[in-house]
Amino acid sequence: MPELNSSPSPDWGGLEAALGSLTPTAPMIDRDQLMFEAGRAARPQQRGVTSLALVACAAIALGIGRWTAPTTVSLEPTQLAENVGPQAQEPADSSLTDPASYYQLRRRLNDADLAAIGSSPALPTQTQAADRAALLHELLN
Amino acid sequence: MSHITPALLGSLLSAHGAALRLYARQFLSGAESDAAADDVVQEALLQLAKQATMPDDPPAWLFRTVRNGALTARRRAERRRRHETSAGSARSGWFESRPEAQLDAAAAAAALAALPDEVREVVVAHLWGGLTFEQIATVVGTSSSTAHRRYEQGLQTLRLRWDTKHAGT
Repeated sequence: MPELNSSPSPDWGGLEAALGSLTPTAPMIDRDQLMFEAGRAARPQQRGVTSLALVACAAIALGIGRWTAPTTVSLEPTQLAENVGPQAQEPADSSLTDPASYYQLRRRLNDADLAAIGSSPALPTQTQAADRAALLHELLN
Repeated sequence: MSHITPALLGSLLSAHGAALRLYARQFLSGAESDAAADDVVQEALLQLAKQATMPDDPPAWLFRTVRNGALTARRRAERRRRHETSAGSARSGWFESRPEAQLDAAAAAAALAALPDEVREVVVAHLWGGLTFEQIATVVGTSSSTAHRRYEQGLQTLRLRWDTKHAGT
């Protein structure tokens, strides 16, 4: 079997040499233009990878944001009054149970505000306003 | 697997550009075949640049891509101008005219053009493309023994043609 990668026969050597002496015409290709086009052709792949990375980053950021975000519970004013009132426990410290203490005065003021919100959207009556003014005066003094 | 760098693309163009162009010309005819061959070669190089990884055999890959591109271009051109066929213009520009060449460039191109397509492409790919018969077999889609047989047939036809010509003069 003849060697396939060499000349098939020594008889062809002269003809092969003669033909091989001919130089094919070089292509009229602008090398710089080719490099530019090649770079542009390769760009969509990179853009695709970049877009994918951006989408992944955005998804991760959204997930982390939702995971770490504080949970908020919206309550109606009446629910708020109900929840705050009965559940407020008396402090164990006897100095705080004094009706004239800051804690007790502040608590009474809050109760008055919540009661005003929960009862009616109308303006408070003069007696309520007077009570609140008296309480504030007492609190500040 | 390595990526195709601009430097590698440039070296492939330098090493195989002329042979690829000649190979493409084997499938193209008509006045615009020079430009069409250049386009086919350039497109093949661009397709190589688009590859994510380097083909196992870049020269064989390029020859196969040029072959497919040239055949597509030929079909397109034939549809466009069925009646325009000029054998003389089809062979112009195959080889550079150099004084050191042992054969007349135009005569050699004419002799080559007279070969059957499947024989001529093997002769061009082996003689000027430097491909082995195994590589040619993968490019053309045949066995290496068939490629070898076609090559011998081509050389024999060329020699007969030259002998006849010289005997007549």
